[in-house]
Amino acid sequence: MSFRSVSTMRSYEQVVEQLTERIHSGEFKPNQRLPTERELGELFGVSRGVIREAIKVLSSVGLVESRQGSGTYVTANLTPTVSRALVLSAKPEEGSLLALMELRQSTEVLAARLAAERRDESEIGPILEAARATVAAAEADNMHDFEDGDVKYHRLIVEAARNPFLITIHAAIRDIQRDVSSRVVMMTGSMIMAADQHLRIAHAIADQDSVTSAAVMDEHLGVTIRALQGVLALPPEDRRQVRYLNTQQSI
Amino acid sequence: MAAFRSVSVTRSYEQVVDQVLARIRAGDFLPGSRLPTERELGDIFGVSRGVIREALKVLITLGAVESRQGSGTYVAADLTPMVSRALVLSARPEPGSLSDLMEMRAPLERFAVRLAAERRTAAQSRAISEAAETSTAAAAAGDWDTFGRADVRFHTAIYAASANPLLITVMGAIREIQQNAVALVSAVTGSMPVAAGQHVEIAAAIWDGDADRAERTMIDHITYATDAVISTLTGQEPHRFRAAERDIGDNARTPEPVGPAGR
Repeated sequence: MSFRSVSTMRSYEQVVEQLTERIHSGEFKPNQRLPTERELGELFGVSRGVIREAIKVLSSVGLVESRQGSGTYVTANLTPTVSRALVLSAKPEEGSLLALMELRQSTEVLAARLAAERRDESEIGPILEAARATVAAAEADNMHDFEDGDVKYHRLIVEAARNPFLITIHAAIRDIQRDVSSRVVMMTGSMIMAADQHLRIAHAIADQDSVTSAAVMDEHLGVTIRALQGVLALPPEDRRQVRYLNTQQSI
Repeated sequence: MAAFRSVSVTRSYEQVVDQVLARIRAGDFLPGSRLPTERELGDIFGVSRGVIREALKVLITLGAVESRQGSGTYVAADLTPMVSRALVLSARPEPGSLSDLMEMRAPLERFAVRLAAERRTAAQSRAISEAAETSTAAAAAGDWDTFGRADVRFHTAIYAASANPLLITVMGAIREIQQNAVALVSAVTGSMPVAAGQHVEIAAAIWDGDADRAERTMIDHITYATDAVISTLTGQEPHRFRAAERDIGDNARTPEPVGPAGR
């Protein structure tokens, strides 16, 4: 590597660092438009080329986004950045799904408890509705609709918990789960039972009964974890059979 | 707006970024190992060196690789900073940020210690006990620096023994964020000897493979740490035991509650 490329990297890195700091400190807020390349160049005392370089990097990292014809904006949602980072620590293998479900269990039991304590009235309807959608899908034996409803239901609960770290981690976990579970049997336990648990948690949240909502959520994800442990204990050739056996009536 | 973004065509350097990350994840590029040269990478991915250079800049900013002067580009040995940086940025600082963080940390610590008690190897258990004993000796000597390092080692060893790689990464990130946040305000909260006593109790429970006892002790430990950190940051009931017992940063417990009830 020549001296020249090293020094070029330094200046764009400094710009990246300073812009990141300003985004982090809240000086540049989500959805806010950044100054133009020229203005930034003057602010930092560097060429537009260096600024362009820095913007490119920030945009790949997911901190800013270019909107055509309108400029560069601070990104509102950084979840993809977290999941990209987190996904690196989960090897694409079957055991990862267990690790993932374990992490989900501990974060979502907390979410269920906090949601019951903190939800506002307007959040009860959508949570109940999502729970009922999974019940309907389970009764119709429609796994695809069940999964869609399931993702939405869990997301609404985590949002009602009002903890930004929890929201980000949960979204990242679901991203990774989608990615990892395609490799493994996800068919663990009954859809009907899971949907019933969804409804019980939803009612507990509506009643602000945080003890029940946390306990049922613990059981809800615990069922999946135990089933998954059972599947992973089987030799690989038998796991395939489990998949075929359970595809019709399970999650 | 987010919808528009995903529609846009991925640029070639971004594809290289994704592929390098995929190879790191698959174990083709190992943590701490040297990446192929720009030219070799260009051949591997069938793109120009300019594109590779762009991709490396992004990977460096992400924290996935690091450039060492005169020696090339290496896969980061530890990917935890990558997650903590992303987490920090996703949850922008506001009053309450740190309490949100501690709130999330508590169930994860409980969970980690349960798994550690169930899964630890003999060597891991020894490392946990050793760190607990070092923290006790440091507390007795009033050696804050040694205590702080032993404290980090103690908790990190517990995460490692949980054998859940995602948990290890997330906990590492949470601790990093917390340390940075606490350091901004005050590095000292709570009582060192009490925390060290808790460490020893937790280590013993892990040694015995007693997940319930390990969890109970950890709950006390973390509950106190949360109260201590938050009351320090909010300026309520600050440093009650500071003069008497020397204080610690992150994890501590005093015999009496520090913050107002329900905090």
